[in-house]
Amino acid sequence: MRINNLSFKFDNKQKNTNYFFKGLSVEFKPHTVHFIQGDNGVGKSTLFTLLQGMNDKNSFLDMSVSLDGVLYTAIHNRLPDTFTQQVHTVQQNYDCMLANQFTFMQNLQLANLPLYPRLRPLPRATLLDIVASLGIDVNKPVALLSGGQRQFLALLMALQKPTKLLLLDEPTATLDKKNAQLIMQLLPQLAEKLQVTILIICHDKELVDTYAQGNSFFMRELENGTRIVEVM
Amino acid sequence: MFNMIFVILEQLLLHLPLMVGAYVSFALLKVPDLSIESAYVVGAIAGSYALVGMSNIPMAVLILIIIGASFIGGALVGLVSSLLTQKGKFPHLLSSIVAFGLFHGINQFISPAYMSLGTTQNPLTLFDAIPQHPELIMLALIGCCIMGMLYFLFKTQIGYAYAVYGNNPQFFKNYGISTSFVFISGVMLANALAGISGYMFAQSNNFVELNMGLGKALLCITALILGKGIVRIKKPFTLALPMVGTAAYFTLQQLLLKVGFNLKYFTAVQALLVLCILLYTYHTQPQRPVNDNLGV
Amino acid sequence: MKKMIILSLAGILGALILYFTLPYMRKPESPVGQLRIAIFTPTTHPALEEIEQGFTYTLQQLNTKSYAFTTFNANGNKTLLRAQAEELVSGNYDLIFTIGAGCSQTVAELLHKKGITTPHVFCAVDSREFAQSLQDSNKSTTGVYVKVDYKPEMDMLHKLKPDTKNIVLVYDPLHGTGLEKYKKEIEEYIKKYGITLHAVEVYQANEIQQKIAALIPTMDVVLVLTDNTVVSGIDAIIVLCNRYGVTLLASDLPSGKKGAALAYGITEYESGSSAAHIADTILVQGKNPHEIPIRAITNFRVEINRDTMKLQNVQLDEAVLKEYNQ
Repeated sequence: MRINNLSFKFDNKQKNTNYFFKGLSVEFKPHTVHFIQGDNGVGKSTLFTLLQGMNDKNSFLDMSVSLDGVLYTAIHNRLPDTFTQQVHTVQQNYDCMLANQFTFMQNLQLANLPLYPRLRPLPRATLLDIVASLGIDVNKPVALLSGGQRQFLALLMALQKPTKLLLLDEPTATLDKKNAQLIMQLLPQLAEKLQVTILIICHDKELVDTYAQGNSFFMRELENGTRIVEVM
Repeated sequence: MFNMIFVILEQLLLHLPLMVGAYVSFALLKVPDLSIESAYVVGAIAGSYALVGMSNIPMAVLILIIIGASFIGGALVGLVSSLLTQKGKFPHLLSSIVAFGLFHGINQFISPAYMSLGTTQNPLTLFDAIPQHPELIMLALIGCCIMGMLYFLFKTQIGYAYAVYGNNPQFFKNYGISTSFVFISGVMLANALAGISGYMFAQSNNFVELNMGLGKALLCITALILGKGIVRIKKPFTLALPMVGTAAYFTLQQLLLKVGFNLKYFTAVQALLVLCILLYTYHTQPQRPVNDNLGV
Repeated sequence: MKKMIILSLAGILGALILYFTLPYMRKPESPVGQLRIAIFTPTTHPALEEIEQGFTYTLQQLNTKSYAFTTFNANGNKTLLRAQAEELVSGNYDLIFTIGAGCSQTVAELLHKKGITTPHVFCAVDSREFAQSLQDSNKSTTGVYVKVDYKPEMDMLHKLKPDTKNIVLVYDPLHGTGLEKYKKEIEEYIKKYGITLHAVEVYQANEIQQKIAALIPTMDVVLVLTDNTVVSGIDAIIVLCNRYGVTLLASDLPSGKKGAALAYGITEYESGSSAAHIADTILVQGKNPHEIPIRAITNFRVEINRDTMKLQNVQLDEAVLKEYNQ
């Protein structure tokens, strides 16, 4: 996966504002887990927002992304739906992705709902073998699950629909060491099994050092206000 | 005694579509949908005009057309209020008040303030086998059909989606599901059911009055709170709640009438009872969902 | 796109406002010789329409003057009633005719407060004390009232149905000047006939069916007073009375035409007509309203609805009819 010549401004209407990103290019190995580090506010989450196509319509965006051999170019300051439909995110506040009155299994099924829910039974959940390996009671209401279990659920829900790029924003921030390690061990398996490229924003140096395996990047701000991404 | 039971049944069946509609909007979608009061009247007007305009059609077919007309009339109100919320980005309370005002004017434009149905045939008396309660069988049939359809609906994707919306409105945007579609279809369904109830009520009372919807939202909330206090089911949603709540409401009303209670204080007694149930419910279930502002 | 929609909606709204208010924005003046009369009614109801008809028709018959009548209808909305009262009081009319206690009181109060001397004639008020208080509250107010006395009505009922034991009174306690006093009067009075009164309070027409459906089968008679709330829902009571074979006794004649087997009341037309005579005295003869004492309407009639009397268990008794309809 490659990001080509990313140039971005938050507000296109105001003159003389600086570019947030200018001509940024970076390449990620496909179907692998990559870590992105950087100071707070440098723009890691902004990059994720752009990749999801959720930037404001008044912003300026010029970029192209190559994903699994297909090139996608931003049109009208936004990446096309054909690209963004293949991108899913697990947010830092993963509870906003869950329906906590429903069970683990029902949440997986609900994540599979089509654009316009129909008069048909709930769709089947996928990745059930991974669910089984986690040893979680799938009939338990989500409200009664632990933080780690809910994080796993959010991750599996994000992968229910066909995904080529998975973005994780601080997935281990609220987890204990044991669950954090479990997530990190699971992610490469998912990347290989589902042929997904995974980008993770993570500040935990120990986790990055242990699990990055050379796929670690650092984003920093230059003196002119733009950002670059360097391989660590 | 039997007569009281029949009266309770009749009132339950007349109000059941309205209560289920209120359950969809207040309890599942968790929005303060005051437009059901307007939908109630619009449904009554639409059904009445269908009745008057198509009096030559056989009654068995006519009742279906009338129910359809009142359904569409109510749904129209829901469409306007939900569009204002989703596309105009207004809080739904404001949208429903605006929709109420708009349709109040439209109702006055198309209908007199009071319309008697005494001169037309009454389709609800098609099966008048029960003496002194000629409408009961038809009301029961309509009620069963509606509840059957809704029972099926709540087992489908869209039924679950309504409950998820109330639980977490942000849920859908994470998975490429149209939040607008879920919200608009839910509010339209709720208002459409209110419209059916409005027609049945008007037909049973033999008149349509433009103010007949006033106070119905409060009645719905009261019945739903009663239902929530009585029904202890662990599922996220169930049709038993509005049914039991409505039955409890009218049973309470008729019992108070039976014992000769002074009805001047009925509303106050009702409020006290609801308060007791709320205190008990909230005491025994301290963990309420985060966005459960309405309490139903 | 969103801006265009908002602008279009604002444009449509503005056009509608202009369309409906422009005719009223110019302060109207009477063409030479034409008298402008404002008629203020609380809601739409056949009885009120009869009063209005009696007033307008009689006034036009009494002299050769030309009149322009403008009707204001509050549609049962108290907020609207106040707003419309403000509008018509400032409307430079030659006379204001109000129907019912609510409209009459609001107009009298506003005329007094604003110091406007437009002559004001009221009608369809059911208490002498209240009518007198209206005249006392404003120097340009006078009118007619109905001398309400339910005792003759109860006597008539006893003559027609001597075996009556239980009457249910359906009423809105908040109507007009308050119906509690009449309820108590009736309750005391009918004890001498061994009749028990059961009262059911309703505050909206849509409550009627729920509140009386279970009670009606055990009653002999349902009694309805001159009560806008209940009268506007009279159809619901007629259905129930027909179903259970219980007599409905209404205290207004139009309800009898609608389906109440028994109706006892004044001819609303005559009420309006009587008010028209007062209006004529003021407009044509130039008399001061304050010098015209309030008048009572006392000629009550009994009417039996021949279509529903069998359903509601009423026997036709010509002697009683003749006695009360002299």
